[in-house]
Amino acid sequence: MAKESKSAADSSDHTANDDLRSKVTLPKMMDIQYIEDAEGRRDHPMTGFNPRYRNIVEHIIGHTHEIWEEKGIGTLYDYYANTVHLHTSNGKIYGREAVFAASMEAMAAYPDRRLYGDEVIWRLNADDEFYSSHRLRHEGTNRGWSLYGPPTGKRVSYWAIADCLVRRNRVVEEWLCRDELSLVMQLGLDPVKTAREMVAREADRDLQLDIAGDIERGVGQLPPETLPERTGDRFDPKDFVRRMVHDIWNWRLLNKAREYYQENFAFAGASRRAFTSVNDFQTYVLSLLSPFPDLAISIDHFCYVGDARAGYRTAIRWTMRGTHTGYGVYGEPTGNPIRIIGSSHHIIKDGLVENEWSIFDEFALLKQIVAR
Amino acid sequence: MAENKAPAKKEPSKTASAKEKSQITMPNKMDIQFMEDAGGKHAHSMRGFTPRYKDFIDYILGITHEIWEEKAIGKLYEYYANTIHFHTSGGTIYGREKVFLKTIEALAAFPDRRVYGDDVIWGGNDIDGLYSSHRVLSEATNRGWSHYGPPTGKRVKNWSMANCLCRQNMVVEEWVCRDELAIVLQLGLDPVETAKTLNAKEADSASGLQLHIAGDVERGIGQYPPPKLPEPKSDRFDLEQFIRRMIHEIWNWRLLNKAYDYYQENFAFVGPTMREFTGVNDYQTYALSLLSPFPDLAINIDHFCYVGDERDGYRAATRWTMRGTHTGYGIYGEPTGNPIRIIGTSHHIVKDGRIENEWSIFDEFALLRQIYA
Repeated sequence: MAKESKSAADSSDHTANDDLRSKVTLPKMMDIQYIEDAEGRRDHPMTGFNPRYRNIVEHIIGHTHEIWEEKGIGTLYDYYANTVHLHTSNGKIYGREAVFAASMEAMAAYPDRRLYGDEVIWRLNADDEFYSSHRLRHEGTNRGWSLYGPPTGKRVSYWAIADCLVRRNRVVEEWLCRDELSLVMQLGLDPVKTAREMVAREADRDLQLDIAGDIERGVGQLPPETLPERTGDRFDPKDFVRRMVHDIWNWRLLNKAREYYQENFAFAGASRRAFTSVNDFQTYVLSLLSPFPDLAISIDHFCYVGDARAGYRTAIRWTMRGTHTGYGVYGEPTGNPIRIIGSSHHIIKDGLVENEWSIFDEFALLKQIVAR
Repeated sequence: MAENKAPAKKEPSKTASAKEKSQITMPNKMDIQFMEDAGGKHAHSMRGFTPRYKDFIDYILGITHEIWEEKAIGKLYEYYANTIHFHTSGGTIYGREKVFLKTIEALAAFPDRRVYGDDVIWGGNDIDGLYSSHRVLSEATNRGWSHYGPPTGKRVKNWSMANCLCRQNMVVEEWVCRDELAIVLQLGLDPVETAKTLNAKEADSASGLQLHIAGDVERGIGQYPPPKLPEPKSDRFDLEQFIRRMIHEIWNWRLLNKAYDYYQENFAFVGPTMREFTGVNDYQTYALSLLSPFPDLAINIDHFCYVGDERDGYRAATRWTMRGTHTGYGIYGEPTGNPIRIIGTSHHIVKDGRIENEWSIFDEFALLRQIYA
């Protein structure tokens, strides 16, 4: 488990990143109104990128504003590759035209939508390629038709984390974790009923071709793998976060939460879960382990910014797999397999997590639970 | 809890110097009319901040006056970050536009509102953020519509604690503890009825999913007693240790007798919903009135800062979270079994090693709403 696939450049950790990680962070950037046309002046190499933005953080915040707030939808031609892969917990969509369709649909349904860029955590893979994990708060009013039906006039507000692989100014791959269940509930819809309707509508495949293998944390009857002992005294944020997820979630050592989290850390999660303590966190973990007793989380990507003094800001993208065989918030066990992608951001200070945002699409989870 | 660790939210690197802390305090300020344009001469390092205000206290008092009293609401563009997180006991709101909305709503309902800045206790630095804890007495007349309904014409006043984290001239995160129950009572509303009405109005769609997380409220792990705080390392008076120990021993260890070790016999207390008293005995009764309805009550300290010095006295600001389960009898009526989580702020004036004044403010109306959720 926990294999770091995808990120091709992950092995060669640029030393150049280290210095930039302290300098190019969203807390250093302040307000969006201070983004000025950089006219090619760069904080770091950005071969092939729009000269307007000075660094990765500005590029992400700026192009999001251009496309979805200024409604310069056609700039998708500049900012998205024609062969983009967009991954969500519902599956994948391919190609820029599908991104156009999804953007226009969302804008028509929520014309006043604001995307507050709350965080951008990044990694420079090469002079012309970076990976970014962008946490956004969506706010908008449902003034038009959406896949959930006619306009409701309801205000909605929810989190999303968008991870992008960007090469030469264009997003070539994106992993989007939107807190869709908050949206569904804020629209006044019944989540389970709506999930059933959606599943019925999307059920175009009579052949049951879905692959659902054994969910293993350890091979067969063996316990989950033990991570190698830490080497060196230097604090390594990557090792810290991987170990934390593995110990708490895969090894079910919930007691270890106290070694990784500040007693009163602040948590913001899927479907507007919010709390501030290790005990609540343990309860949260249990509320996911109980319905999916074989739950396994693997980490698909890691990056971070910041430094020891200002605190590390880390981003992980993960996949959660399990089988709905236990009781819990999702009701009577259905035996269905589930597979969900999620993203977590952590702020780590003095060796302990001070803030966590863990976002996944819980409505997609409901759909997988009620499927068939 | 967490108190056996080093301070949970430690101020990193260069924080305000002892000299700055003893000189830049509210008692050293005069009337607001003497606040002059500093013309860029800052009394301490305030990189990125407007040249108009001489120090961080002037900045906090000044921007409050500009926005709320001069009604220069548009200055929020200058003084609030577009991605601000704004925390209250009712939840967190995001984004400057929401702050605009709330500000305009409050000013429309209470147009003559005065925001008396009673104290500004601060810490941090201009790199990681300057942190202020601003104690405010608001007075106003309800001349417009509010979310409680049509104008009542009633005069209201209440305390609030506004804690702000500021960088480069902007509030980037804010924690507000407003004594909302005082307003509800002064508007002539029935608190419990109003709490239930608002809960019903804001309830989610008919969802069978109860996603709300409410974990074990622990002061010690499992059946253990609450952790002991380490003994002080030296004889020198350490204000942070003093405050942490005081809250931990009295509230988490339920050693109410220790109040005599920390408070002057006749100290003055100002609390939520206009509670006011003097003396350790009344304080013990106050603590019992919260412990009795929430027998598992636990208080965590989320942030600490202070100003002042040995000679003039220290002024400490502590932001905390109170958690508990409503399983006992008390002022909140029949136990409902509901979990509660409230943020609060306390200011203490400490002289000669004893507390002389305490202001402890939290939103007791938010508490009622959680009890009747």
